[in-house]
Amino acid sequence: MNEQELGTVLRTAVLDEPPLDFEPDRLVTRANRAVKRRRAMWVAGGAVAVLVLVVVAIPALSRPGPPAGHGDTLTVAKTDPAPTPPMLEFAHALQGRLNTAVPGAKIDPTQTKALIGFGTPGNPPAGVVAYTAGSTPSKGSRLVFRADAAGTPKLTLAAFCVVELGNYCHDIEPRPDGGVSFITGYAVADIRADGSLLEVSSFDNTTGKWGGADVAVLRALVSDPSLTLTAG
Amino acid sequence: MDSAEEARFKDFAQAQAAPSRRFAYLLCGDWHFAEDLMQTTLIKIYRTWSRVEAPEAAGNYVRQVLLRTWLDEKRKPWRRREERSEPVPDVADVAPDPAAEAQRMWAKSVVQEGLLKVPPKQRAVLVLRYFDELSVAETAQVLGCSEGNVKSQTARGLATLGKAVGLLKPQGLVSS
Repeated sequence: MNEQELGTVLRTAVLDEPPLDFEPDRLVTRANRAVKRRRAMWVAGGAVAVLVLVVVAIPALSRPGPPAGHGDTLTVAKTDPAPTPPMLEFAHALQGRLNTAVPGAKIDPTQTKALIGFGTPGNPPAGVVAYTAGSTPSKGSRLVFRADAAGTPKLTLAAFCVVELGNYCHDIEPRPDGGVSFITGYAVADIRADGSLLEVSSFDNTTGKWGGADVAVLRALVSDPSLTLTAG
Repeated sequence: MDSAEEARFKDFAQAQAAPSRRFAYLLCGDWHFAEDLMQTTLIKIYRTWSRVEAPEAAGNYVRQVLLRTWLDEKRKPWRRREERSEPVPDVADVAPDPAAEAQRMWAKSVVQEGLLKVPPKQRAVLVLRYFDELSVAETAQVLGCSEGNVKSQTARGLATLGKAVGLLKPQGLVSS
């Protein structure tokens, strides 16, 4: 088939085209509807993006990042800029226990700082205590302690372990005294029978991952009944 | 879009509808799909109407949008099969002359069976050059490629079509 024949064949093939059912008005109506639908989808997409930002980013931002640490210094952080006596007492009490996991750990009260917005919904923390440790469990790692005082409303495992809030809990170990310890993220946490929470995390400053602390030691630390933060 | 512009677009769409549908039919081999392609193309152009500078000379722009619309549609999974069954005739027979009828049937076979075996870009080149009678330069502009590419695609397309047409059975011959 040569080029001329092809042209003839193509023109012949469209000779018996069906009648054209075309209304420009109908097309414009369809086009306007398509434009509106597209616009509505953009608006809906934007709204979903904002919603996702609110739901995901805000809880993530409200969770404390491990405090910056260096060397062998231990840092205490709490909700008030000026450490109140119960918080400092609690920090020192923690230090004593912490030495079993991190020998030589020290508290630097001057590094204490407020961590606003850190807590579970409906149960704001009475205080947050953070330690950093340089030598153990690995150089540059740090341990973050968080303690919620006993109070109302009572914190429960179900209320804390909400995956949507970033709290995925596993290795849950209930105790006869009504408390329960579990692992969440890079932390070992303990909810006491009175509804208070003690959580300890181990971070490696270099990798941003688990700092290598012994989970069993951390679990023993958080479930120690003598470590209790009282409000005040 | 104000009412004057809308009226201009309607005139434009009315003028472009039939040629666009024919062009689409030669690409896809199906009048119904061709009508969908034509309407989708015109809706796309409506959305960008403010950017169409000279509607009276926008024929190649329409071809370009239609071609892209067709290629986009072809990629959709439910459109991938191109084999068409013989369509039910939509119109009365306009050529009672048996020889003319045979010629028409042959032409339809070439489009619906032969041309569909030609790869899409080569098929588009053949239709643009031998049906719309565009020059090599105009075809290159519609396809967004070089003139050399148009020439090579034309040669390959003709060769592929020649082979496909060679396999078609002669039309109008009924064994007794």
